[in-house]
Amino acid sequence: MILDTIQKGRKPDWCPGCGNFGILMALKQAVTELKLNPAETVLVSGIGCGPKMPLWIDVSGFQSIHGRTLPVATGIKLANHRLNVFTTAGDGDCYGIGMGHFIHAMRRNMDMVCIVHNNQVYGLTKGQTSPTSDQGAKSLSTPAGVIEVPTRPLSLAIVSGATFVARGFAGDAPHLKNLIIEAHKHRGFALVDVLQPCVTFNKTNTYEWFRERVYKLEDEKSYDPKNKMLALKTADKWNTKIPIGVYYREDRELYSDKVAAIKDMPLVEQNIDNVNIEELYKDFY
Amino acid sequence: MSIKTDFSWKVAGEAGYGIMVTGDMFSRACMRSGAYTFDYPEYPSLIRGGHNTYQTRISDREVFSQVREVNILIALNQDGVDLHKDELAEDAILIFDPENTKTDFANSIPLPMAEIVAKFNGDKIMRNTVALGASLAFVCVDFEILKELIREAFSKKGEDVVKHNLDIAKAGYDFVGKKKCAFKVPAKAVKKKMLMSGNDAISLGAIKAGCKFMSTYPMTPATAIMHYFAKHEEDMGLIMKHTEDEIAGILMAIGAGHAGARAMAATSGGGFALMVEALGMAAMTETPVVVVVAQRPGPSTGLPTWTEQGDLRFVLHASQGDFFRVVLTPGDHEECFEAGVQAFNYAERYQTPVIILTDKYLGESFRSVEPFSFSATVNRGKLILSPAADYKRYEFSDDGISPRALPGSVVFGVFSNEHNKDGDFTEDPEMRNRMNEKRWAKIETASKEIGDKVRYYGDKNPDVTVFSWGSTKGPVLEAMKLAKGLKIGLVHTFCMMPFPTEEISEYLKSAKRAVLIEGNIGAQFGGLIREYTGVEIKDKLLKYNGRPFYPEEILKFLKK
Repeated sequence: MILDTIQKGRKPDWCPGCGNFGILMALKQAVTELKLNPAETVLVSGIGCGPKMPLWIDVSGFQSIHGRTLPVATGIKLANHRLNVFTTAGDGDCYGIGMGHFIHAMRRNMDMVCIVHNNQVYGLTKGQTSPTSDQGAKSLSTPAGVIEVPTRPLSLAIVSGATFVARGFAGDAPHLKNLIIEAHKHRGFALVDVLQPCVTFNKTNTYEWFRERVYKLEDEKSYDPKNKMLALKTADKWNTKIPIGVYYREDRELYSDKVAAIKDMPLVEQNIDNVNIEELYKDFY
Repeated sequence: MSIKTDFSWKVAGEAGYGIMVTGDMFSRACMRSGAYTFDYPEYPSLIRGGHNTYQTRISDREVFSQVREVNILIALNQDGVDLHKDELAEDAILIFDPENTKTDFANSIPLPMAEIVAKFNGDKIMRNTVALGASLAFVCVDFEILKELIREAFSKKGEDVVKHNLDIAKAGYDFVGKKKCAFKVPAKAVKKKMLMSGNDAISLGAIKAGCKFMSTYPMTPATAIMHYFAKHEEDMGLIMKHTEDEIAGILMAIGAGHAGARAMAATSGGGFALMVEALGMAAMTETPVVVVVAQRPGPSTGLPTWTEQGDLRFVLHASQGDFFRVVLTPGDHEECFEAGVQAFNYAERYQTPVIILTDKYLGESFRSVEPFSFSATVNRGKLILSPAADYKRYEFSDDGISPRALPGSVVFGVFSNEHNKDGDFTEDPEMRNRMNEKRWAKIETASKEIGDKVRYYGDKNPDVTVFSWGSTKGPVLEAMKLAKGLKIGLVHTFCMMPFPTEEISEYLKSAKRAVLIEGNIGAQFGGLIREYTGVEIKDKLLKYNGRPFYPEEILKFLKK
């Protein structure tokens, strides 16, 4: 199977140089390398620049609404757990308006890969600051600079019950591809936060800025992603050094493992033609 | 003195003292001994200490609503007398505990509930068991029936608990002894009946229709539906997910629907407000989803445990843009079952949201019903399990409905953005028109296909024709029964969208006097009738104080 970068004659409409190109390429290569059946692979997206991805990758897609990818993906996965489910959303989408769903999805530990295009701005609405923007960052919505401290998504993920927490860099697609592959192979909720330069609206956190700071966790021989306290400490690194790679992983039972109705087969395969409710009547006599 | 076989019994007292259980058991005992029943509990929005009531109408014929007048009142405290003395019928009897309650009502019977409980070393909460035993003796129900009910209710807690309850109930029963009473539960050999709420009936309908997935957030008065699904997850192979909020509730249901499971959410107006954005997403992506909206008085938190019909306009117009949604407005428990079944057929047939609009009064009133006769086969519309490789999700068609594949069978995308027939994002003006028109065409298709949108009851040549919808049906039917000399017809609207323009126009034309009756201040249904038919019904009875309509007040209005 070949996943062309062009689907149905359309090219991605991102700005030239956008970090999303690297993410799309990494995802396509990961899906190809994993030999996933495109029909059985569903990419659920939100709204924003990055979440247009389902338009440009040849797998099944569901573009939902801003902030709401994870519940839609959860519904799809609960109804048919044989599908491979990936989500794609931006930092505003997943860590801002969708923050509630994000935390509860991690508690739940459904088997899915959550890719967040973290560019620290709202791109599609012209560059307002996002929950991950640095303090003091200026934009049309914050002309005097952001007053709040930024949210730390990886720390949040580790304490909220995510069982796989990773960070990639859009400027290193081969490394990101490997992270996505690992995330998919992990049995549980896997967060892949991707540092994604926005060449149009974020003049601070540029490719260069990241290149000076990122380093691979796997190069650090002593790093143990099963060590939760170490992972938390590592997740706090930002200003001078930013690790990429798998920060944290743990094995935990899936939400869906505990759901009796889908022990034998996916919900969608159950026969609904003539459900017998005679037994249920007995409660009411 | 003649013996009445159509009467109302009410128990009133402090929340937390087993009012609901007492009411349920009284009603069930009467039903098992042959009567028809209609029960309506009322309670404030708190768990302990407020004032609760449970009112049961008992009759030898099928009953569709409570009446205002109470014939037997059990007051468990002083409020039980003070708040309800105006409801007492001329022939009423009042049963009270002299230990905590005073009354000057002539026909009152002191029942030493606390004293009897103390004699059996029972907890104070068991006063209601004395009241239950006494009540059933008053209306001549065989103690054996209560015995069986108590056994069913407490057997899990062990033989000692069963015996303790039986002793106390029997003491209440024997206290009344063979006192002659003016009320009697009509004991008839009739078909086995079930005591069921509107919420229960919707749940059963949904399960019958093959609904396998429910995701929602608790909200009065719809919560019982989520509880019912949760209780039957294992035996019926269902998934009930209590989500972090209503937004996630409807979204998971839409996700499950997209994957191919019949799925629903259930909430009230406030929770539905949170679901509104996703409702439009379901319409745009053309994903089937069913939402039950059980109304309570708004705006905002309003009166959380009371009833109103104030969300009709809200559900009809919720979410941005123009799109078709089916709105069903069942009026009784049988119609709740029917709506519960058909909603899933319509959602898949028209690939759009279906709303079942009920209210506290219908959702939480209990009626004795026979096993449902309504049947409909599962109709999954244009679902295709083996699509061709060149499958197009949004293929054009005359009826506005495209073949629907499921993820797993073929690569396809669905988009909340405007899209072309491949599902690709588009801003092309012509494609926008065609897609919008395709979706809009579903209204005409559904309008032709959905039958029985309006149901007529009563005299063929009525003096007055009532136009109403939803739960107001029951009290109007009962008003008809009370009316002597006045011929009443009821035009009950079961399907609000597609709107039954022709049917309602016809009834308006032939009406000698048209009257609008609905439970909101804005005459929302009246506004719709005017919008669709051009006729304004000026003669209207509107109620919006949180209480359901009483047949007596309807009749009084119609006799004006």
